[in-house]
Amino acid sequence: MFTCRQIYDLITEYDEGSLETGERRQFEQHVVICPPCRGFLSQMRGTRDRLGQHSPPEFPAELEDSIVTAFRTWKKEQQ
Amino acid sequence: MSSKAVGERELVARLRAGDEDAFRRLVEDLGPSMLRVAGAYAQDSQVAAEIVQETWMAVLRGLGGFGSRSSLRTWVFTILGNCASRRTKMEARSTPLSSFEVPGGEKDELECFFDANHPRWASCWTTINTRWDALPEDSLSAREAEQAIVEKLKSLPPSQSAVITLRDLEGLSSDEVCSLLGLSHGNQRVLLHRARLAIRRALQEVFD
Ligand SMILES: [Zn+2]
Repeated sequence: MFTCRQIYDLITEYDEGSLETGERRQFEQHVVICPPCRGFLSQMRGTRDRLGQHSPPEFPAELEDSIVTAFRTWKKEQQ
Repeated sequence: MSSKAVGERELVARLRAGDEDAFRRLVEDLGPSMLRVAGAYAQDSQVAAEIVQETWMAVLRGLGGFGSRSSLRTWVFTILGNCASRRTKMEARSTPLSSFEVPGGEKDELECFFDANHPRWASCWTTINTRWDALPEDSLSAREAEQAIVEKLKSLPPSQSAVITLRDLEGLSSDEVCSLLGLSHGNQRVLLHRARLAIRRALQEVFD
């Protein structure tokens, strides 16, 4: 049976599906009977989900303009 | 061929023909994500902006030879990855992404566990606050969490920051991230693990 410390170390491997069947089973057996590790698992997933909702930074208008200027130059060179 | 692939082929044809509106829309569509990924490599907003600019120049130069084996987005991000690692290797203060040696463990977190020799609670949690993941999403705590994430992302080692940005913020697959960053799957998982632990800890400080 895994310890809480091992669950802590293996949690990403578990979520990435990279544990072998035996380890996976041991992981699940521990989590089922250990409320702190269940909480930890849900925090790690909550962290991942929060990051997924995080919006990218605003794209500066000057940067867009300078990229479009490069496009015009490129277009001229193509002709 | 899927309708998305057809749409993409049309888009590429328009870009090759010099359609500026189509190009601007693509820049607006991909730009913010590109800037975020470049920022994960460079951690300096000016350098990140330069990486994005260089990437678009390279995209234009490569457009004629772009095949449809990968999606346009994946292709652009591959170029971005190349530009960013070339650029960050030149920046003395950034860690080159090629030297992906894994830094030491997260020692501050070890205090959360009883010693491995403890007679009764060996390697068990000493304390863990399991409440915060269930907290309501009121606007104050959501803003604080947002802020904590932004700050923590900036302070991560570049290798961790690049992996978590591509995986969890941009939603790329582990295969895509491994090939983009030239990492083994094992190393990618270690970096992702360390980065998620660090962000989780930063969020925990907000909610504790
Ligand atoms: Zn446990």
